[in-house]
Amino acid sequence: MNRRDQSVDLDEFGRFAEPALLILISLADGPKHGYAVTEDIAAFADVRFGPGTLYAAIARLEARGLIGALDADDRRNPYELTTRGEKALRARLASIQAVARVGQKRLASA
Amino acid sequence: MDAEAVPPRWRRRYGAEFLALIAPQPFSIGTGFDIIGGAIDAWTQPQSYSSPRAATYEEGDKIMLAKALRLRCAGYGEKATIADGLKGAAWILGSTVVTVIVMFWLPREPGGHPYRVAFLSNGWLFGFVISMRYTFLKGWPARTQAVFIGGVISVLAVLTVAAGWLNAP
Repeated sequence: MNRRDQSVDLDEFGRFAEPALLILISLADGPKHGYAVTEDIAAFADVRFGPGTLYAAIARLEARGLIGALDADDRRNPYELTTRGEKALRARLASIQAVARVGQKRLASA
Repeated sequence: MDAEAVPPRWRRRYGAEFLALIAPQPFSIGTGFDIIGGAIDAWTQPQSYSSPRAATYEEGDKIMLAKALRLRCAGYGEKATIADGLKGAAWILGSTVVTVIVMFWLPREPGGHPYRVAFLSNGWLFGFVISMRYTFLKGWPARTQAVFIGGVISVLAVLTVAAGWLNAP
């Protein structure tokens, strides 16, 4: 898989691109179910997604193979990052870091 | 949330955990709007939770061909394949050919029969609308497809009859 089709995966999410990215980051340190993902994102990003937004993003991520569902725990399905999801996340974070570096460099020289 | 508010496929896959997530939460207007937005998304973007993985470069040529075929018949849905594009094209070409054959086969009348002319002129449009099932409407629930196609064909039929009536002597 090359870098281009990894980034396309999140780009095609439209308004769910940001929730999808935050969900991938949340799952990067281990499987979580929907509620735990919401709480984790609220803790590290200070953003709290509603259930509709959360599951619209989860459904897209799962349909594209970026996350996978584990066996249900009670009624709640934990999700884990797949290899494909990990690669997509690495590519997206690298892209964000590159842009941030340019911005910081320009601010420093301003 | 009303279970009928989301498509059955979405409900089967995510319904239980979605309800488990919202059950302990205090209701707020913001949450309500978010849930409604999610339900609308589930109905209007069914391909978003049933799409195959993104295409690789190796599949690019096939995708381009499929897109070209789809654009020539009836727009396209995210899951439409080359075979779907061909089916859609077959409906359009088939309905056009049948219309032309019927037009030549029927006995000619001086000035033409207004209703017959109206229907034969629009014959290919009926095939075009039906072809959407394989292209633009692919991935939508069967009931939605039936309502859309049936509704458009009904409107088309009414307009065709109206055209015949307007042209009648």
